[in-house]
Amino acid sequence: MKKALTTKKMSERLFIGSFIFYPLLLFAVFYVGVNFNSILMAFEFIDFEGNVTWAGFENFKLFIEQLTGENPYLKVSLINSLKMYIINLVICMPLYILFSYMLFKKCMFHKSIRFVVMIPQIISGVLMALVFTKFLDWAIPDIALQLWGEEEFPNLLKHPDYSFGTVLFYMIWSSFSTSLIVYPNAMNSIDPEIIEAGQIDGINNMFLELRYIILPLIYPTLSTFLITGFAGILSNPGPLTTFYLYDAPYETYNMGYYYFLQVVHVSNQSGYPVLAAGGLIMTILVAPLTHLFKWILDKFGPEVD
Amino acid sequence: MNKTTEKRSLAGIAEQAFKILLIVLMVIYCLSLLICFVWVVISSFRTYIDFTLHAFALPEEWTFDNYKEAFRVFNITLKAKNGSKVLYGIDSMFIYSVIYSVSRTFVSVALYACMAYAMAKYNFFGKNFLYSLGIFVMITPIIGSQPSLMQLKKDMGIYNSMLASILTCNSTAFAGMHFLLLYGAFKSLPWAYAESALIDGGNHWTVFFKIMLPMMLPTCAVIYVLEFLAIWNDYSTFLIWLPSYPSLSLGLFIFQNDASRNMVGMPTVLSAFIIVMIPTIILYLASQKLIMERFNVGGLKG
Amino acid sequence: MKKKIIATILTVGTLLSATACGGTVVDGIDKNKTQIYISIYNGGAGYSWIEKQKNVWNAGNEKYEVVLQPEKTSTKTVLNEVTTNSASVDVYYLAEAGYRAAISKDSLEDLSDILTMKVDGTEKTIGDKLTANQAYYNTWKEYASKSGEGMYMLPYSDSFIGLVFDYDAFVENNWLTKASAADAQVTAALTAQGIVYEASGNALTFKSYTGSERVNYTEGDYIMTAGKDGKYGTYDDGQPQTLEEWRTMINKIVSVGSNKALIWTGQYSGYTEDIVAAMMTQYSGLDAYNAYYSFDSKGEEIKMYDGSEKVITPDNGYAVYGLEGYQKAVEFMDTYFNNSRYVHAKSKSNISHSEAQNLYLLGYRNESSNPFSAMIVEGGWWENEARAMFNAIAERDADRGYGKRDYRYMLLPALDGQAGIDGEGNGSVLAVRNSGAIIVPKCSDSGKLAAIKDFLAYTLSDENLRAFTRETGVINSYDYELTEADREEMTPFANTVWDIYHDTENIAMIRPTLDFACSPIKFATSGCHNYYLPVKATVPYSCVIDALEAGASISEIVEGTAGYYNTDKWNDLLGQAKAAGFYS
Repeated sequence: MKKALTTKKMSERLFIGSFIFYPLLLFAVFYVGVNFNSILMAFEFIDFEGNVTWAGFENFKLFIEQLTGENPYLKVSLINSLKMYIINLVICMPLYILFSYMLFKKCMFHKSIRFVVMIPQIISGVLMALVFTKFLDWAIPDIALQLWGEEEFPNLLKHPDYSFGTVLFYMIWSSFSTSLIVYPNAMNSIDPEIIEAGQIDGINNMFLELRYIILPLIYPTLSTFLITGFAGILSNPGPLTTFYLYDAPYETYNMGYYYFLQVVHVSNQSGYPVLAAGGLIMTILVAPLTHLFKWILDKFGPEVD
Repeated sequence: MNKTTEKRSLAGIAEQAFKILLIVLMVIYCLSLLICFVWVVISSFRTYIDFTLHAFALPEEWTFDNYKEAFRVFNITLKAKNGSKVLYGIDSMFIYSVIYSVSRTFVSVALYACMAYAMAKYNFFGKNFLYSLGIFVMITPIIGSQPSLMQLKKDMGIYNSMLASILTCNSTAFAGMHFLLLYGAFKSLPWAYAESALIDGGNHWTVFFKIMLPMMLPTCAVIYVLEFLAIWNDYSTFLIWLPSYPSLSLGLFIFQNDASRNMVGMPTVLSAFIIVMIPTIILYLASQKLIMERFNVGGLKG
Repeated sequence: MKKKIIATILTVGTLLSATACGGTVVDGIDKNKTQIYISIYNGGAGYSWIEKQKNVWNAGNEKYEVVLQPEKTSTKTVLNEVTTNSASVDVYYLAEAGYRAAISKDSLEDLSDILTMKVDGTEKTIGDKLTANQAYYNTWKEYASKSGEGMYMLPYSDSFIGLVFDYDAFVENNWLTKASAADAQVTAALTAQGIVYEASGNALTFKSYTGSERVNYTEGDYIMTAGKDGKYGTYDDGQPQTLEEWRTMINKIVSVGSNKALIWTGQYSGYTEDIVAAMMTQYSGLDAYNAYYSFDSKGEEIKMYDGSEKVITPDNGYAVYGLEGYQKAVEFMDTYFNNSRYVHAKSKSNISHSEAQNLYLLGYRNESSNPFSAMIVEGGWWENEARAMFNAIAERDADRGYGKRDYRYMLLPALDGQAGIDGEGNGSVLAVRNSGAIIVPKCSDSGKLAAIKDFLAYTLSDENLRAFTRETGVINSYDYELTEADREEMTPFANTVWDIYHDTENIAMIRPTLDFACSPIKFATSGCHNYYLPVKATVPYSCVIDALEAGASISEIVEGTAGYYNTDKWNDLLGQAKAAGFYS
């Protein structure tokens, strides 16, 4: 009996091993191997000649100094990244859910709407951004001229009062496709009997239904998006590279873009260690926060009664 | 009693109005996306001057010349591995794009599926750690790793190799949205079938390939389509890692950048965009129903 | 069945990816020769000029073969490649020359040998051609050598940005100043220059020419005033010289219909920064300009915007950002570039350089969506870049095709109290945006290295230098002459560019992009500003015009920029640069 168990165990282990061996090998070589250097770099000084010396935590100190005082770009980047997330949370998320609810309820045009929202996934990002900027440059000023006789229309992508808003708008505008597929699908998987039972219990309008039935039942999906969104908060440059490449206005900077710019365009090798240290600091901050966030969502999320 | 009914009917009207508002908003949103698409199509039939001066009006005249021109000049010259310069036409770019996108997506999805299945259905040492590591990987911004990846690929002799690039395309198969989607999907499958199959003398492989995978195929197909759409439009992989291989996305990138040197205007570039987009549109139309039903992400509970 | 399909796809995929599929070999390699790979920056000048040269060279060389690779690799990528010994080519032709870091790290080959080579069948060496313009050579030598030793980069192209205008249209509309028939001094000067004229009312028309230098007039043309160089028939005839004259001209232009005076690319609004740099230098002088990038005014006092005068040394280097000339330049930009009456509305949108060129070219149609713009901020390569639109227009208006109109550069007017290029208020300044360079990463094969040097020297023969300019309109910064036939082949605009570039008496070329890239405060530190002119009001901007359009006032910009660095931050940067061995 014992032997049989062991064989069974063995075969199970062999199976698991065969499934995870190759992906883990790839991870070890192409992620750990490659990135180990970058992590090590956070603790090094690289001088102009490329000579490497041990720096201890000096780079971490430098990064924090930059963040708190000397480097205005870094500060605005961090703030904007947080803003982007919060706006996603308070504007996009409710809209996703309300729209999805309507689609789930098979509202007018629901099929066409779900068909059309995938356009941003099909058209390449470059083309979407091109159309958007063309529209800002040519159509909007024309419309403003005809409606209000406004001849001097500001450059929405560059003017400090509007640029960040425009970037946010574009992000929201091009972000609906996945959500409007995923959430209605999640809602569809709810057992119709639960909803019927709810109606008998007096849940007779959309808000009550959302509050007491839909949200609790699609909660796993919702929290996944919130958590992965939170996790990506500091690494997502949004559409800045497509819009501006290296010349984004100050007001629009975010952490993802700041890093992109430093690594790809601005900083020389001796600047990398501070960036690497900054990356680690942010990870150390965001990782537990993400887990805390996840814990809070799990613990205090709605329960299905 | 009357007052309550009145209140209820008022609330009902408000709810109806709110719903109508939501529909109107969605319709406006969809129209904005459609306009985008239609604008690209219309612009590809404009003359260069007309496009420059009246980008958002109806065309002065319709012309097919841009497409003719695109088929004539949309090509790419690359340095082959032996050092020669090779000119690839739209047909070659298309074939390479298809081969690359089809097989790379296949490998990527297969690796996701392997990891997701093992982690969702089995207990093994380090599983929870792997799960947390996956989240860590999704969060962590890592700086300047491209040079060291380049060095590694060159040392291993797999730089500029399409086959190697395809086989090593997914080094974080236990992280990311698509992993989570599959993980959640596998998790929701009942283990009872597997149990009975195992009792009937089947092994873990037959359970996976004969029972679990067939049930998961539609979900895998959805991820396949979504990854395919992204990979089809991705030029940077070719630009950085596969400089001797042509693809439509790279061709388009270069074509767009070099438009003025090729002496073609934006409408011709847009017509090239449309040509490149056609396969993705067909794929989307074919898989649309599947995506609408199956793309569902579960929770992050480990 | 499904498995079979997948297996087939994978097999076919593997097979096809292992062998090259489709494609026509356009430039095969010779297996009996060793290849020299050259990456050539595929910018405005293109690369067809070097293709012909390498074909000839290849035909005459039995052991080696040059293969070209047109690319648009960024400076940073190339720096990465050469300093980590991972270059995939043997030679780079680059659009920018900021490679001092690579030179310091000893990643490049010394090309001094090439300077001693003679390739024209005369005693003239390539070094002689390079040193002919001594001022330029000194700068180049500083950036291309290791503390004066060796020559690790060779120059290859030099293109400036300025205000391009259509001379024909300006004459037609009377926006330039005609020479006066009543002025005896004018007629005497014309005669002295060998220009035969005819009076036509109060104006003069060109009849013929008996002198030996080129003149820009053909029979029947109105003769314009001489311009800053004091000569007739040259690149600056009829242009305004003082700010007052400039203002009059601009107002004349915009008084007609919906005309605008200026257009530029809103997406790359940094093009206008070359105007700012030129204006700043024209006002504060070349010594001040040099101090701006070297942080060393050589003991001289330099005038600041607040009226103070400062001696600039590396220790107080950040003070140079309060230069008085910068203030004047910002004022000029505010008056003329930040005024919707003067500026095409699309300059303030995100139009690319190509779109700006297209709108400029189509301005003659005077459509409501696109008013006529008199001048465009552009570089010497623009005609080549706008060929698609030139061709499209030529289908309707044949006389507006490529090379048909006489495009020229409008020089910047003199400001009251300016130092000019001679310290006495004379001359004009133009800013070079692209100073191209040739570099050779470390090469262990001495035979190959010798062949590389031979090829590079070959491309620097007078004949090949001429062919380069003739074909591209771009100038290479060596001393070589064009024949009359060469010049006939070039467009009127390319001819103007050539003339301006070579008039060192009246024109000073500054190279802020190059000077900044080669400044240790930039390349040997991390945390320095990104653009060659730091710009800050309450927040930093990428260029003056962006700050002005955002509503920042002149004083906010001037004061903000002057205070771009505080002592602490500057000492940090300077400390890094000193640790790397500079400014000590």
